[in-house]
Amino acid sequence: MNKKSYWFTLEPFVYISIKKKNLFLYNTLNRKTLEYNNKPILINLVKKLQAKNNLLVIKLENEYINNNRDISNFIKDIREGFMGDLIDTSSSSVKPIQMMPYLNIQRDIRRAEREARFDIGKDIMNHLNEMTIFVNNRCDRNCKMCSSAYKQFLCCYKETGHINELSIKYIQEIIDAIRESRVYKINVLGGNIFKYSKIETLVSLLNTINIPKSYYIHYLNLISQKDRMIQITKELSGSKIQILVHFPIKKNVFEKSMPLITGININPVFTFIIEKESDIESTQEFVSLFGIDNYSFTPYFNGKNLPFFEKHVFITKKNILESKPSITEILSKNVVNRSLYGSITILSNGDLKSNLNFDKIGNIKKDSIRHAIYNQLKEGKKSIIYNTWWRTRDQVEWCKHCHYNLICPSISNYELAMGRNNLCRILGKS
Amino acid sequence: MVFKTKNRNRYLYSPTENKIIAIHPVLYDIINFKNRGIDIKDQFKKLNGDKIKIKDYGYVSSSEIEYYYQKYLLFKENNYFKKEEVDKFINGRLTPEKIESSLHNNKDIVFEVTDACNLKCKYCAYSEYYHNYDKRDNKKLSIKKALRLIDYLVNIWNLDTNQSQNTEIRIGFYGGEPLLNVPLIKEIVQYTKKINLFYNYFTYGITTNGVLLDKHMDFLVKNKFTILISLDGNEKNNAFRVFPDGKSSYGTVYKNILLFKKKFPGYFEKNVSFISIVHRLNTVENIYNYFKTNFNNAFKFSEVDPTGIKESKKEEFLKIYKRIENSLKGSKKRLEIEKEMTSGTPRGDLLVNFLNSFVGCTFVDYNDLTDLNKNKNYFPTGTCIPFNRKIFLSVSGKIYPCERIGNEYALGYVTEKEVVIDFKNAADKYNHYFDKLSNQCRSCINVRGCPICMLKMGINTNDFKCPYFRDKKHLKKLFSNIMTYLEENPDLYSKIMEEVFLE
Repeated sequence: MNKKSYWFTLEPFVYISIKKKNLFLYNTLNRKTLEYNNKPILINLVKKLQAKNNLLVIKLENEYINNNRDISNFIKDIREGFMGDLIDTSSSSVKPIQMMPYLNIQRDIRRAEREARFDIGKDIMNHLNEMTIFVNNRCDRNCKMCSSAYKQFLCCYKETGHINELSIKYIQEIIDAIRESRVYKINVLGGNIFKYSKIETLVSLLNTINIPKSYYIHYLNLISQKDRMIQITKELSGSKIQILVHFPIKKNVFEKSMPLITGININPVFTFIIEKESDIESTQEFVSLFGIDNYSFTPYFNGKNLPFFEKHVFITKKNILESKPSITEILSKNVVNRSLYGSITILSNGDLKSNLNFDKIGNIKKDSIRHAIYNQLKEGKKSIIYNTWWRTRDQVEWCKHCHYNLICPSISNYELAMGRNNLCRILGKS
Repeated sequence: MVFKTKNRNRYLYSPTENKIIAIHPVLYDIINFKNRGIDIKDQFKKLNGDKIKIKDYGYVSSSEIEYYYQKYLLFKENNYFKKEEVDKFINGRLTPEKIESSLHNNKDIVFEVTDACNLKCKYCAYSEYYHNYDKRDNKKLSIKKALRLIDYLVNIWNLDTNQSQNTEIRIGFYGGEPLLNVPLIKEIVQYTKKINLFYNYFTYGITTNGVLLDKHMDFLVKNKFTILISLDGNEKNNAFRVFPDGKSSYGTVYKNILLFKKKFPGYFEKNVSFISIVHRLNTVENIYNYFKTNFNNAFKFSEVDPTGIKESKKEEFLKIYKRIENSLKGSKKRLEIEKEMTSGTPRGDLLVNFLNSFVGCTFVDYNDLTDLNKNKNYFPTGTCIPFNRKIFLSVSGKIYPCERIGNEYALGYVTEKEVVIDFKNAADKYNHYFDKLSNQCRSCINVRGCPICMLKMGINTNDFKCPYFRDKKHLKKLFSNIMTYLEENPDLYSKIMEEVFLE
């Protein structure tokens, strides 16, 4: 009888997902996947490999492998996909180990649940990575998408009725608070930012901090504030100008605006907001006509264009795998929402929001940003208002049943605004 | 880099991916050959189809070679063999603003309330063996200087530049023997209790030899002090800790500890811990057994400081000095001690540092995890940014980033009227040290995992040479030893990943 035995090991770069009776493995190095339905013997084997004392390596007798077709086929698949290996036990005296992928996050707020001495508020501003400031809510345009687009992507918005402007005093407070933080991006939006009464002071204040800034301007507001824009944009040389364009485009306004833009020597990024098939074609015509080479498409969900989204926005298994996330990236998506974490928005009335699709977490006129973030962390697990930073696909319907839920990008603002979690063609609709 | 453990298992370490992977002996040989400029497939062709012998494994066929060659290519495509960009780990520069920001976010202020001591411990850092401390002449810290520093710090802690919310600021009292200047401690406690901190609150801690504990325990408990008592084990083991007349301090200290325990049993267990110095009169095992038998409190080991020793006293010093590692060698309880303490023993600390530095699983926070700091440059060595962890005010009014460094590293001073910290000078000083180190760090294979504080390695000497420099051979040996240990104790991996935190 052949008494040979092997160390059977799974590679630490393989993502393993077990959902009910279904086993799924994904090799993050070559994008190969394996899926097994209703094979409890394989699930047990994988669970044994994942045990803390086994660290992805167990001993298997040759006889056991040969006498069990499911196991031998599984090992064959694993080896073919470079997802694991068999190593003759005679080559070593003690079992090897794999460094099983872990996420040891020193400042993980989940530590507060099990360690009383964990200080949740320590260096709290380090959570912040993106700051969005709506300096006012004034604008003379009446765009149809105004009240909803800003909840899906960075876009200006105005409010009818109460006119608000965030005073320079609060802008200064924000700047002081983030000066030595890890904020890597500041977004400045309105209304129409050129209608901000102290725009010059605002720009010079923001220029005092060494953090990249992006100013968002609707193309229709360029020409109407021509002189002010020319004056201001001179000061924006180190910043990015994002020009928002939506359809139908007023060609005559666009024609008048373009020389202005080229004349002041800024190199803006044009964001074409698209709702339907024809918008894509029109964009292509426009960029070719006006010689625009720095542009992007941003889809807008208007409540009626789901088929357009299904065709152009929804992702497939292939799209997900093509992004080739690392094992760390995959596991991190079970801990934190990589799209929404660390972002705070300040509205022109001072309201502080961790996400525009949810209620405020404070107001800058009475709460510091630090205090608002503290609430965000402290209450994060209790209330939906606060928990968008930690809203992961493992928590939401459809996605939580899907093997791809952590390979897939984190839940986005589109999903929050649309009220559905799976903008994909993998599992059914929610 | 590939390496073998003592158990003959093979591993690949990729510095760019910062991952260690157990690999098959054939793949190990392919990589090893490649590192020597030899393609194993070419070798195989020369053999006209005969099998190739792999050391410690046996003969392998062409199909096996081909399989592992493909696996090798997979690792190659995924940058596993790419050379590490070492500059990232040594190019960080300190700015005055960065140091100032550290101070604004400091959470630990330590006062050396007196340089007087009621003991004359043989190995004391202020004893005849050392040259790197200010003269000790029974001085007491001026209360005006202490309060001046507190006022200065409170002003900046209450600024918007403070990055924290509702966070502890620990006030520590240190000596000499701090309980010889209790009036000052009381004054500081009373003073700070009246301060309105916007974003923080104060807690108190003391490191004491325990001789006067009986007189002051009520005060300490009332003000919720955490107490660290120095005790080196039983009477025999503790015999270097003596009164000035040479008599043992053990009986007095032990009696006081028992009194404390009796009077405040719950508080004692939760808030009192011990620190023991390992030396020629004790062993780690002695100390471990002593605390396990006598108390249910946390305890940790430390070594006598081997830096700053006078040339003329080196020989004598070696008569009292013993490394913890040497003390553990041969101990029957070594594994038990190491497993229980996890960190705090040399092998435990090495393992924790190794797992945090070379396995790619440890992240400071969520931003670190989400790759936003990809382009961040780090400072060489494991030196803290000044004031990031601590600010120490010495009895003579000098400001240091830590109490455990020599007197040449003061970064400022306090008078009764003002606090002077020259942030620019501090940044220049540190950057100068970094420059001195960077060339050595550039060729040091442990650049990623260096845990050493540069201020503890004699950085300000003219012909400075890093005593911790490691070449590839060293690192292979280190990895091999640690992985052998982990193979034999795999439960430690999850334990450290889940339970050990670096703060």
